[in-house]
Amino acid sequence: MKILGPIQFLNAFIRRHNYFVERGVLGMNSRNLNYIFRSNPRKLYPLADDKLITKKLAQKVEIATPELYGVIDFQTQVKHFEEHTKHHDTFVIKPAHGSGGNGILVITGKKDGDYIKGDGTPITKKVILRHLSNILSGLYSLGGQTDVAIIESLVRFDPLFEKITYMGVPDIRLLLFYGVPVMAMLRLPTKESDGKANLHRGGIGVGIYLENGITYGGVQKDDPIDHHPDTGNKIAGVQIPNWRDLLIMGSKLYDVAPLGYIGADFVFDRDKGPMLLEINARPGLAIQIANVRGLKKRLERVRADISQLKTSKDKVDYALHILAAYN
Amino acid sequence: MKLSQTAIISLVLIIGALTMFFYKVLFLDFPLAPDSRADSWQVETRVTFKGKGEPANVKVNIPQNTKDFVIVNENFISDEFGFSAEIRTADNNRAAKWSISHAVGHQILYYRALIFRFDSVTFQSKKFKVRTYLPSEEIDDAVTIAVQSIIEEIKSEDATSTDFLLKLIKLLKKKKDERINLIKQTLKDDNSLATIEAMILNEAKIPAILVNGVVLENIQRNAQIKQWLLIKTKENAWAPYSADNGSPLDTNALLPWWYGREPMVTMKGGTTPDIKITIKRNTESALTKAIMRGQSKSKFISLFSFFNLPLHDQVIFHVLLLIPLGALIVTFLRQIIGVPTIGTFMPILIALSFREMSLIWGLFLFLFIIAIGLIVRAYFDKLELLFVPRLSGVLIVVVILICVLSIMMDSFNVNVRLSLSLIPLVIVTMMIERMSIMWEELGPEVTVQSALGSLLAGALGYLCLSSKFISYILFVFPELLFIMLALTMMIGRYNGYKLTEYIRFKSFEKKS
Repeated sequence: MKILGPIQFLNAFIRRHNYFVERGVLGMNSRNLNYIFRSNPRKLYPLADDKLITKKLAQKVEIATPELYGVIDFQTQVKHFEEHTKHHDTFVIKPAHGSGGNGILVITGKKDGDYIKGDGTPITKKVILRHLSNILSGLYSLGGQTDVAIIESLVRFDPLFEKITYMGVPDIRLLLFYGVPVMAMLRLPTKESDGKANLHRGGIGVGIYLENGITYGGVQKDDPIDHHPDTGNKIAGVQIPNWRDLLIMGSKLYDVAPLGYIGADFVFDRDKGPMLLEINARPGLAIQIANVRGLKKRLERVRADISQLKTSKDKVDYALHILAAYN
Repeated sequence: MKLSQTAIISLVLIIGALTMFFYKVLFLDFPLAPDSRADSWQVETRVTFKGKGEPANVKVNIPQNTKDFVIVNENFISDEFGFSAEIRTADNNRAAKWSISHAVGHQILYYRALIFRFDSVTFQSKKFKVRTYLPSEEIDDAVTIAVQSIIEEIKSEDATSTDFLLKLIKLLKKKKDERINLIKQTLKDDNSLATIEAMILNEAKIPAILVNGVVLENIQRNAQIKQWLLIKTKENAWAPYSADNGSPLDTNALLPWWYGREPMVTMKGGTTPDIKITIKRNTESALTKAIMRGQSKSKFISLFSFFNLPLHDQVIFHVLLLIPLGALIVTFLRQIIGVPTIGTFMPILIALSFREMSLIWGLFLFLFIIAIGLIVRAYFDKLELLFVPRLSGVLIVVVILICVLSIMMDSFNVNVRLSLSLIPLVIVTMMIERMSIMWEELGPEVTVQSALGSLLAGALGYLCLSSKFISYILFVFPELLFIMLALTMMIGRYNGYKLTEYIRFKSFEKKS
């Protein structure tokens, strides 16, 4: 690494700043002030923070979500959780108010009265009871309030992503501004991320061409990466199926959950196609790094033109043809 | 560009605060740094006596506010005595009065004051009440004749007051003079040279006042009460003169205590009191002067000053005023620099707890205790303890750790001030809990980063908060709080990049 003198350093700094401005890189302060504060009314946050509400809203606009097997509201119901799962070999337990993929327990099978976890290790029923109890006591919820546990169907992800996934389920994050898809990324679990599609934990964020849904390079922990570290396969060039339909699904969310600035997370089920997992009312900025594209210019363009965009179809076509041109 | 509401309010706050600040600095001469030499003294009077097992009543003359001397702060301290405020004596002096219904054994009373003197002492406009120095009941014709005879002897037409005084002193110092002996006998115990001089001067229609006070020096462990004369030289102009040789005295070196013939201490129900006066020049409060000036110039300024508060409260405000600065630092570090911290104001609390330890030891202890605490917390989690009991358990372990550390360090003769008060204790526990949750949710990397960020911000905050200069400035110029408020409001509307984001998004530059 070259050591710069103070003048050179200042020059490099100014150059970088100007470049960021030119590329429209969105900073955290600006995200909060100009987008989240202005576009997301606080009273609507529960629509995104509570996964049960999100699920119901999604059904209204015929967006598929994992099938709900049951809800555990009270500690006394915990020991009877098997009533909800007795007809299903696989299921997922998650907190309704969880964030960042925390508190999600994936069960992929049953064996001799025990259960098989997502990574193949067997666990006893007792472990599941404890997990449910922890969820209810608020261990994984935002702000630590008491929570409810959701039991739903396990998504069997599309083999499409098999080559570039290590355990877990890859998902697609759409960043939507007033229903207009602005940017998208594919998130891949890695060994480092413990099978979670969580970028903080070392998952891979992969940029997607907005115009056609084909992936290009990815980043892991803010550093560019071309191949999946665990499977060794190339990350770029994967076509997301039914790209336009996926964008339209995301766009329709705005009709039922009028939060202006959201991240919508979808997974691809082998049989049922794209499903909505959750909505995030405070989506992070890593999507910019994964795409190596700035959000700011796209967002400002949408803000200027949004009054002319009425339907989801309009909004998606606008994204495909106009926003995609912003690099 | 249209100014936003935030910008306008911030601007108004800053202008207002700066106006106040510069008014105080430029017109009231508030010093910008502590420790400049100041004309203020800490005065302490200790009165000791033995009780006789009966009601005791002690009256002690104390200094009074004059145009030139201002008592900034005073305390009256006694164990069992009832203190019945300050009173006026017959000669219109200030006195403190203590009383007790049953005084037995050794008794100690304290009077403490911080006294400030204005630049140059002048007795110009003070209207002194000329007192009679010969109480009427003691006067008989012989004394009156003796006094008049002395006056006749030294009086001449064109002599000034000072000439008269010089001649009088010369006469009084003669050993064998029946008139003087007679006067001395009449005045009994209280027959000092100065008293006789004051009496004769007044009888000769030369206004003179007997002053009892101390000579101000930098430090005097056992200052003596001295007497001198205040003589009216011109209309409304009084000057101090030595009673010994009649020479003018240096006004800057004298602190008048009380006027007239009264003794310093009047006592009932006790042995003859022992009086000890200690005087120390106070080098820390040059601002005392400025505050006094402010009080005379503007009531508003004096209202907005902490100097009117009792000493005890002032100490609290010294710390309290630092908290907004801590908040500003944290705000800056988080919003402009982008340092990750655990909890929003954890760094301020950390900084405050560093104040109670030294920085290096504080950092070491924090890291050590947090590390152990995290392990214990993880173990408690494994035992499936509920949230609140788990938190309490960690708190107890932290206390045990601190106890063990203190004892160990003491036995190894490591002299560390481990004065961990309650606040750091709770802070450490909270930090352990927050870190554990973060560890689970965001992974170890983010947690360690945030913990180090918090400690960094805490250390930085500590460096600011422990600065005597900053503490002084905030205490003397509390209006600066409004500037801090304005700055945080402005940061609240800052939508530019955080400094760390220039690194986070660095890949943008590389790819092009």
